[in-house]
Amino acid sequence: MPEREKGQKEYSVFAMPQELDLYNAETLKKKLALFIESEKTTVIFDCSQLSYIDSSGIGVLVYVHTRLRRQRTVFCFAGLQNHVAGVIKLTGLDGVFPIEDNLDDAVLYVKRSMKP
Amino acid sequence: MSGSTLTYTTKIINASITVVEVSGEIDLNNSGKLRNHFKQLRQAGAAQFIFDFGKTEYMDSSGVGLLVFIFTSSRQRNIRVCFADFTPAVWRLLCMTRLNTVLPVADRLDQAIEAMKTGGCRDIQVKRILVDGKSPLFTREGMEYLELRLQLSQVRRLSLLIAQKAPPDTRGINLLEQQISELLKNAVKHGNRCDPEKKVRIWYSFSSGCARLIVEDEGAGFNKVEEWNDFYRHKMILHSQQDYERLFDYLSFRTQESDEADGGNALFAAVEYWNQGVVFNDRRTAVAVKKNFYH
Repeated sequence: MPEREKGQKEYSVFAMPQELDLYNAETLKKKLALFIESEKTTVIFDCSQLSYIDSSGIGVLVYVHTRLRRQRTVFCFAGLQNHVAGVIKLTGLDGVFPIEDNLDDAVLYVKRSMKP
Repeated sequence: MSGSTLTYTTKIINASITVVEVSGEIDLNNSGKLRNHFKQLRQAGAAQFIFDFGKTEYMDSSGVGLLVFIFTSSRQRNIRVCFADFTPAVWRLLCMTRLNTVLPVADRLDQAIEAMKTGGCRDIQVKRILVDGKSPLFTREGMEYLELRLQLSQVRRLSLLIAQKAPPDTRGINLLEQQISELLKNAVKHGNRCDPEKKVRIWYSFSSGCARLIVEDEGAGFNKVEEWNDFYRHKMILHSQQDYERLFDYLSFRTQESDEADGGNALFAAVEYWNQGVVFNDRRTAVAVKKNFYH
């Protein structure tokens, strides 16, 4: 889990695993629940390594999205591979999730969103 | 007795849209009044109607009948009509009678107005899960067949093995594998409830233009098809209106049997991916799907 040093970084990056499916969705969800609880500011979910996702994995993203929205944390998913973007689109979640092409864009996005 | 109250006000907006705001209750005693009002407006030349039901707290079957009358008679005369902003009680009634999938509806008045501007609030086409054991998708001739006591731990490996039977030029083999795995997962988990004694039967066939699959389990059957279709329709209406705020309540279809690992979204993707249909047999223990690949 990425560490965030106080006063140094304006955002944290959470690296998503290579696969997110029925076998590891529950474990990752628990891990994310802890992470989200400690994270009050801004999170970028780095999805550049994520090459496979199924409906259980999508469920985890929906969970993250719902929790962070509720606590008004700025966040986005960054660097989706084609397969993952395809599943998100099929599920009708494009337009619902904040998604950025890559980490640089994600950083710009969160900085812009944090401005009062 | 004339206990119920029904009032309506009519205004013209954007020069041509007649908005009828209906308040109170529509029932046997007063639905005729509103019907006549509508006919008069129509005879006076109104050709675009929005009925705003934001303040209609109750409707009985004659109220529902009135909506059907307004819709069908308008259709015959080429009049545009849209029903907007149902209260939860009335919406539930429409869902029960399945009319929510037939009538042109908008969630809010402003969305109905917007829809009128851009060609009318037509019924949007939403994919549905069908229940029809006689569907041609259940034709098993010429398909490969597998029968096994499938465990959750084997689902992905088996999905990959099946997907690899598709012609090598199949585009998006990852997605095919994933969509197969969802069907197998549903059969093992929700059908067989992970009972190691129960079997899953699989038929599949692939050609360069088409993928077909039938997956049958030994469970009690998926009895939430109608509920799911209603849910999905509402989700897609919100999606087409880009009403993301309200869409957040429709991201996951959950039942009492759902657990933490269930995403509640597998079938959303399935009805879009299997573009030639997702059909259950009459016992709802088998699902047949078909996809055409367009090159």
